Amino acid sequence: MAIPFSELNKINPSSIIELFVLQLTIGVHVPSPNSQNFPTVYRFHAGANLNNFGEIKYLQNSYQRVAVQAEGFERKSSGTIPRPTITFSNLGGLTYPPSGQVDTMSDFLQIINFTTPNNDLLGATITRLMPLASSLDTTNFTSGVNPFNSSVGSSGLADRLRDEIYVIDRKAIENRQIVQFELTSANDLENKRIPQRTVTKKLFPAVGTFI
Amino acid sequence: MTFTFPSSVPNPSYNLNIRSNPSVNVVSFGDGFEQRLTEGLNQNPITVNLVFELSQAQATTAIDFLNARVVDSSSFDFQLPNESSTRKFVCDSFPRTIPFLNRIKLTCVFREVFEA
Repeated sequence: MAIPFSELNKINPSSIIELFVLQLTIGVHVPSPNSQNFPTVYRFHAGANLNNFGEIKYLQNSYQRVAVQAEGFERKSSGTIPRPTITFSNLGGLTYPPSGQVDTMSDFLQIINFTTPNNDLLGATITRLMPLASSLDTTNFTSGVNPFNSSVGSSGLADRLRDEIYVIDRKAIENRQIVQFELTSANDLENKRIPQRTVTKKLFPAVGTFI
Repeated sequence: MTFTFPSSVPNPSYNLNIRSNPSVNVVSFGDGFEQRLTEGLNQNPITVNLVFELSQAQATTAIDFLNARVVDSSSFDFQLPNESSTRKFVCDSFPRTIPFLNRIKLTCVFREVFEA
């Protein structure tokens, strides 16, 4: 992955496409062993492509069209660590691949809670990918050519802004319209400390023996 | 399922109002040098105010169609009078007035959506 500096330096760079990847954990969100092959990776985008409004494809992966909005991402060197929120529509439209059934987010949470009761996706990882339109596969465009970058092929470019990786820390809202999750960085989780394991001479005899 | 606005309904009256509301982030500093960046691929939906002057039968067709789209929450294809291809719309409101016997003036607000 490289940051597309030359595109971003233009006066009018091509659009930023915001994609989300939800990564579940086997044993927590999905039964272990995963004998029924439940998918552990879900990809979302709050929009459609320019090829008959189909799903956006990026690096050969399709991103489900789901009403999803994330906000509160920031970078700072002091104070508390940012806790962005991600909000899904709870009116349906979420395809659950094993059955191909279209569910609401509440239905999806119910499926997750079969594995770990009251889990509500806690601990699942959300990655926010932000490629520019100039990196998208040609399949996203009616003409078969990316109008923002004619040299892109059918596999697209890995160029994108820096990925943001967060962990779902709690379910903040669940009502008939929306489900909102609060995200946090992996080092700001409850009962997690850095360093996770203290390096002592008893465990690691070489500690302190050289400079 | 794809729906198309009934072709038996005559074109809307002219003087129609089409509003575009593109979503563009603009950052402008110093001597006026600015950068413009959009988010997403479909960021310029239009909203159209249409007035249909219809007979009672035509109005019934149009209103039944729009009511059915309220029930199933689906979008529909509609071709604006000055365009060569259809766009997908949802109808946010369609109040009507009855100026004369068997004549209906149907005022619609169509909002463009981007979906398959």
